[in-house]
Amino acid sequence: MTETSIVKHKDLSERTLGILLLLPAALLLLVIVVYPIATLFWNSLHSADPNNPQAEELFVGLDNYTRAFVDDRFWNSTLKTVLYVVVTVPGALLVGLGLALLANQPFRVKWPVRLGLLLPWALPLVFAGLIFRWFFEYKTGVVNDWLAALGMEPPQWLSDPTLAFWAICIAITWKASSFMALMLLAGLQTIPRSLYEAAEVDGATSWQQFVEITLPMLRPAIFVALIFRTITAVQTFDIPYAMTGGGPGDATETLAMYINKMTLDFLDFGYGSALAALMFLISMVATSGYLRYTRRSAARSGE
Amino acid sequence: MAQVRLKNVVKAYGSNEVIHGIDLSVESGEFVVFVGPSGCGKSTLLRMIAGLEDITSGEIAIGGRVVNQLPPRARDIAMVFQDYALYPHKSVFENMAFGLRLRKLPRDEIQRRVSDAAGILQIEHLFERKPRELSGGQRQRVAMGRAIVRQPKAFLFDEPLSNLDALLRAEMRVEIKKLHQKLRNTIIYVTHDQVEAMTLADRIVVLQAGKLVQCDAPDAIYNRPAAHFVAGFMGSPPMNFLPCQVGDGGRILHLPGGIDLNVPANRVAECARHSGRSLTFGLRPEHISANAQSGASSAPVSARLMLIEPLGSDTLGVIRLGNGEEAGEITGRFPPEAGLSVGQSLSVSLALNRFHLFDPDSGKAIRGADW
Amino acid sequence: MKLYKLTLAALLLLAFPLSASAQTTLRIFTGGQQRPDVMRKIADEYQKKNPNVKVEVEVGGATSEAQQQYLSTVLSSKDSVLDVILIDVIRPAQWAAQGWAEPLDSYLGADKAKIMAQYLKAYADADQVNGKLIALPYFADSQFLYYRKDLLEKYKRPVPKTWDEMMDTAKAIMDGEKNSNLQGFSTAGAPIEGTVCTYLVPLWGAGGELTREGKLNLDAPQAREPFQLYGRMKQSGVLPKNIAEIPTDRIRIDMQAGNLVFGMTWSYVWNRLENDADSKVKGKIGVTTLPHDPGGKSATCIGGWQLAVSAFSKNKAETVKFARWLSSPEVSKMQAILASHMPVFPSVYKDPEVLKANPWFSEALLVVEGAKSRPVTAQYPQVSDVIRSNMNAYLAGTKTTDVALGDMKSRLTPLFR
Repeated sequence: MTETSIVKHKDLSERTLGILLLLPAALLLLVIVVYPIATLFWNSLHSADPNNPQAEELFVGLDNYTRAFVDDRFWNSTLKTVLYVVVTVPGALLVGLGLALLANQPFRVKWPVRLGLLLPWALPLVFAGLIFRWFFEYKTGVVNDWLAALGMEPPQWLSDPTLAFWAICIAITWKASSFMALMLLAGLQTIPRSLYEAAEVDGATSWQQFVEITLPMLRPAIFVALIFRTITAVQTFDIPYAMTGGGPGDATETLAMYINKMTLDFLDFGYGSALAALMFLISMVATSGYLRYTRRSAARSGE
Repeated sequence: MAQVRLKNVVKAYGSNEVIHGIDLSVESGEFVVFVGPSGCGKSTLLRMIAGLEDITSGEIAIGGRVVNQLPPRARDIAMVFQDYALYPHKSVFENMAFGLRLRKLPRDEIQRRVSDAAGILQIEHLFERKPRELSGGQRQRVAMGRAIVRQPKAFLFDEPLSNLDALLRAEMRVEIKKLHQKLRNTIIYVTHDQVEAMTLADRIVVLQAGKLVQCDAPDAIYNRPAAHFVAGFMGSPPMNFLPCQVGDGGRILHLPGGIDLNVPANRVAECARHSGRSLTFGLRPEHISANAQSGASSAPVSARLMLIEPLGSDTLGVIRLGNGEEAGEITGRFPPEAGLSVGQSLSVSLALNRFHLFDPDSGKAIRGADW
Repeated sequence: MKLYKLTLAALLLLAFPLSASAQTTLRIFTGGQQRPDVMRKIADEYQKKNPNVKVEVEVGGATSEAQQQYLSTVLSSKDSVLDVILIDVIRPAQWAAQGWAEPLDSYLGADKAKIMAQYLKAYADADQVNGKLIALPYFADSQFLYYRKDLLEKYKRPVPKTWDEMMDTAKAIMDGEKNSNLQGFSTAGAPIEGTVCTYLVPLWGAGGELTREGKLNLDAPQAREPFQLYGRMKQSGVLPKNIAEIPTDRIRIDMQAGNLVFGMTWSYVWNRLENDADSKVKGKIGVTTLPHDPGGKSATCIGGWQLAVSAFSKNKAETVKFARWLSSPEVSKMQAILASHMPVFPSVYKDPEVLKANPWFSEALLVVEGAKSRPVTAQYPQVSDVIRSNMNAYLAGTKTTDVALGDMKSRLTPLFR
């Protein structure tokens, strides 16, 4: 009788201790994650009178959301964002994988390769955007210099909607693939060398080794990298901002740029918050797709 | 099955030569074990045969074909790795079938070969499992199965049992031996474990610092070591070594502690050639017995028991021979019923026809004409 | 409760250990392109005169938009870190609506009318919103037509008065010089604030207005004029092919490199063209009023920077005193000499020392006096966004006149209801 009560007492105090130990982390999470997100949703249900912005904000229900549904510019910028995702996520994966495989080669001097990988990643996004803006500049840009040297008519990269889109995709891919490569390189380095030797002895060519060993072994790293890249791609802002400012017209404007304009330029925090909430939703949909796929394939492989 | 022939094989990293010209011929169907301490080059040599390391100079031929320039996949060999190197994302069946699939064998042929190998190794029930769901011994079997299905010209084993615990190791050792008796294939097997070497090999190759020291049948390696190094490496506990002086025209060996041994008549001739020299005297523990017998082939020596290690089947005793500061200590293997106790003085007899002599400078064994 | 008050007092003591020494620290915010170095010199001067005041200069944002984004964040959270803030002339209406600026009327008291009469009228107007004084003028600015005196002389062309004259002259010089790098005319075309003026200047020059009596006036025939003008210029090759990528400073760079005959840009360019070491056009540049339509009258966009007192400042009295000194003829003169900033007092333009440093100021006064304001509305950022993005799309060739003008109309209408 006494014994059980002692045990019970001990259990309780251990649990209390556990809760106490978790508390700081939980509070921190509450303050830096839950509170801002909750505020965002709260703001998205309110609106200020544009003619009297100092007055109390009014509760408008889902008005800000219905406004988004009839806002051409929201749909256009969302479509552009989705296109950036569709092009740059696989693009960065392919280029990043190539770079990772290159960096994983047994170079005698490793640091130049590693540095080369780190540099684009360490470079601030806006810098990357400015650099590529110079590259694609009509008169003084390197790209048009090359094209001219090849005897081709130099196009106006940044004032043609289609060319500007591709120029931005190239810049994003360049910038993003180094992070991709770093993650994949970490994955590559966990693959034991003996697996390649076993495959080599088993008769696999380099390509067969890549397909049969590298790719399947790298799959977890690829998924993590894809999730990261997709989330950041949904938030694409700096590079198009620096390269075209959304131009020509609104042709290369992303959802994040529109949100930035709506909140920080137009000071319409209610509508801007609703747009941000919609962007959050898009990110969730995109990543939950990946998660569902990984869970399914994990179940298939009997984990 | 095929012969594997090494001709003056050298491996160097830059100016650092690690394998110094090895000549060896492994006959078809023969089980050869490379043994030596870590760093002796045995794994490197095996990997050179596999093609995983390139050959600096010399020639390697498998089945009569020089393979120096061939990649591993073209050498028609199979290898079992120390960490097994099973493909973690493939099932046991896929692991075993992988090499056959790459060689584009018909599906039913693959099925048949994998089933056969799995039957021999008793792993058919594991086909659907992934390597991480297997025990160490099961992984070992799968790794061997992956090699067997290929029916290669030669099997290469790189310390395959070193990741297993002692009991499992003994069990797998037997399995491997049975397998070889059944399949009669050419096997080159690398280990640092002398028991594996002794039990498995048709012939043992002892390597030291990139050089081949001795290549012989296990019995010869044990009983007629060609060098101080081989004698010290093979056998547990190792052979006892004491400095000695050859005296009286080869009839007497002076050992430390004021002990003089009379050389048996049949070995006087070989000792006479080294009369007056300092040599290394070697005697295995089992050639020391506790009950002193006097005779032509054994010499009673007074000794003191310093330490006892009872092993159950035997008792090892560290004994100090003779008297004086420089008296030598040797280990003897005694029957447990001898009733020994530490500190006890006793008279031991050394089997005089079984001692070995080594040149202290070259380390080479000094042998009589009949050796 | 008592404990709470004690703690608060202790915290305040910790936070302001110098409060007893009566030293006041004022923080002024300026953009990177408004010569913070000159601001520092001016602030040092003020510190000398007022030993109890310490002035910190905070620099941020290279463009008006970047600065405003930072300020929006600071001021929306009612942060008191800034005391005086340099704001673009387009901002007072928005600042008044948001309540970010301390209205200055009460500080000026009965003298307000007299004080405001001393400034250039355009600035006195721009800084008062619905009768409230939101900011004090700091320095003036406007767009001019920069031209290559040497090339005009070489081809015996007069300084152009109308857009068509300018185009003809530019074309003739381009044809004559046979230099593929030489461009006839350039103005801001990228989707940035400056591109709003790219639309407004020819509109005004044709006698048009964006709004009339507060209502959108884009149905007037003059509303098409800017599109057609730039369309003609593009066709004749006078305008750079990549005009839609040209930001403000690019005009200065091209001009400085000798690659531009005419450029429509702001007053800061003069100083760089005359003084930069790598300038290839020193002494070869003329500055004049912008061209107009044959029937119209030259017009230009008003620019310049204003001094707003933060509504959240903790030292309003000291801050207003500092701001009033900054907005004085004395400081206007210092700026004119040190930075070629155009004075906001007509009197300073005639100061011999100022004229010695900036001979072209004698003409500039006329230009500034004729400068017009961009639409004054609390929602100016939205208005600006519509105009610049449509102008940019038209210049890039992705929208026709009808589409660009139609989009402008449909998106501006709700903002001017």
